[in-house]
Amino acid sequence: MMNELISRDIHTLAAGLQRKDFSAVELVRAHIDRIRSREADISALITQTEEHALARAAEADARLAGGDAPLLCGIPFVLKDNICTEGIPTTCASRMLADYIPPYSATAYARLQEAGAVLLGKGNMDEFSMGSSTENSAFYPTRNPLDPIRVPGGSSGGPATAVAAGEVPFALGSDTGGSIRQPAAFCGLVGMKPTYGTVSRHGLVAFASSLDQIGPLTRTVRDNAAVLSCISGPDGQDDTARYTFAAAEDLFSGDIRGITVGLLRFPGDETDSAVRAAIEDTAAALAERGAQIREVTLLALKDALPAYYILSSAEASANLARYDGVRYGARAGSAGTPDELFCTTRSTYFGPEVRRRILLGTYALSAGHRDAFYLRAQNAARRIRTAFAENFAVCDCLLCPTAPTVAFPFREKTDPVAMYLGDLFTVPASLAGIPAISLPCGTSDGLPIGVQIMAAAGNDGLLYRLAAVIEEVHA
Amino acid sequence: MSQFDIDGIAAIARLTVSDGEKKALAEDMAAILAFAATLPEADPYEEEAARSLSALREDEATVSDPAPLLHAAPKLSENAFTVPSGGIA
Repeated sequence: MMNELISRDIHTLAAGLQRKDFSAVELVRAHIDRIRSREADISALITQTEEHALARAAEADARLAGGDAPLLCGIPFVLKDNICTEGIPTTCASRMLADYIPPYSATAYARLQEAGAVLLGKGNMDEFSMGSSTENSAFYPTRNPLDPIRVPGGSSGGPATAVAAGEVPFALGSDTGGSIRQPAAFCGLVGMKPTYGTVSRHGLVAFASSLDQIGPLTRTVRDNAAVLSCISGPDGQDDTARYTFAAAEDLFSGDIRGITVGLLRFPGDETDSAVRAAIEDTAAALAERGAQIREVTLLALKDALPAYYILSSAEASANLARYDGVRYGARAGSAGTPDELFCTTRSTYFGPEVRRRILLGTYALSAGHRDAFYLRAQNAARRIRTAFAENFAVCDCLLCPTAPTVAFPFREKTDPVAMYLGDLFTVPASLAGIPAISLPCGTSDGLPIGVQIMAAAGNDGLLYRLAAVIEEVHA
Repeated sequence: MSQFDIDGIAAIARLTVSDGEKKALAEDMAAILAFAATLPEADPYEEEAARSLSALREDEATVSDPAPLLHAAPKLSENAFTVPSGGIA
């Protein structure tokens, strides 16, 4: 019985809790046992919250006994370790914040708590979300549960691994340039980056504030929509949080007749043939269900990667300036002048990729280089937004791979630019602030392939509608 | 593209780079900047946007005296987001 609980989706577990087939405490204990048996091999978590979880599960059982508990009441989950949790360490997988215990909780976490969901741990990640493999964690890399010699993707690699390994039925990650979608693709999950402004960023440790967005990682499309419904909506603590997503039942009717799907061709695309074939098969399956498929090329997207790395690094250099050993973060021992203290602290506690991006961002914003880099990147982002807007006037959504390859082996990409090129398909939606979802659409050598769907801002529901059909095709 | 002055940028960013890691970091940064330098300069989109901006500025410039508009603005107590019943003169 307990083993069966660890592979089920949220809706099945919620029905079991409501029927009293098992209690929330039993459900949480089953997942704690699973974490104990799997963590040594995969290292998905930085912090485990067993005692806290059992206390919360007991509260959930009392609420379930009352008869009107929300769907997520008693359901265990993991948060990426850049989402603040009052009284529970939030490290961003950085030595800089290794001892940080937030005095407040992120809004997204608070909303899950209100719904009665049970936090089981904080997921590993690339330091300050800078990376695409979770190899940049200052503590240890996380291993892909489907093949431990391979990366789980990143930067939300820990949360994705925890869900894929059966440690929890869902997790929250954050996505700045693909950090939810790419690990979802590598681990065979559903990962959603909602429209920018759908989920409050209050309590999300900032990397690039104009791009960062929290979103769910789940085993099914329906679960994903349910979690997003719970955490979305305006928040007085974040003025950019403007949209509310509500998962209407008809989203999952399977009716996609008349929806126009653009099969997106990317300039500079060197996607693996197996990945490309899986995407084209998926488009064909959607056509059989009544969608209209047309090929689309958006030339503006050729500039998305360099624009993303300039803009995100520029914002990161500003956002991470606060970690100086005085205002925030760890402090290096006995430095002399304030400047020496700042430099020693930051050089001691930031990892190599974080320092690289701070240097890049500082350079791009510095006098004499701002026009050549930062302003050109801003213009490129504007062109990308315009290209998407023009496209969505004639096409309801766009279909493309989530990543050019399946999960790659550890230490395969040591050149930073080679690693950045893997984000080709995910960064455009981030720059445009539009919603994008990744879900499994086949396998190559036993490893999952992810398909990404993008739509106009606010059309998150359309993504779920199409994703539910793709999920059914590949069930 | 100008040479990447790693010590100068590190000083602005309040980081120190040891001699041991300087060479590798400079090579990484050069590769990343070469990648970033592929971004194009202004194209027709930006020129069009710039023209629109100029037009807006010209429109604003045709208001010779903004004072009457300012005085006609609704008082805060009247609810600044609602046009008064008599309209704005």
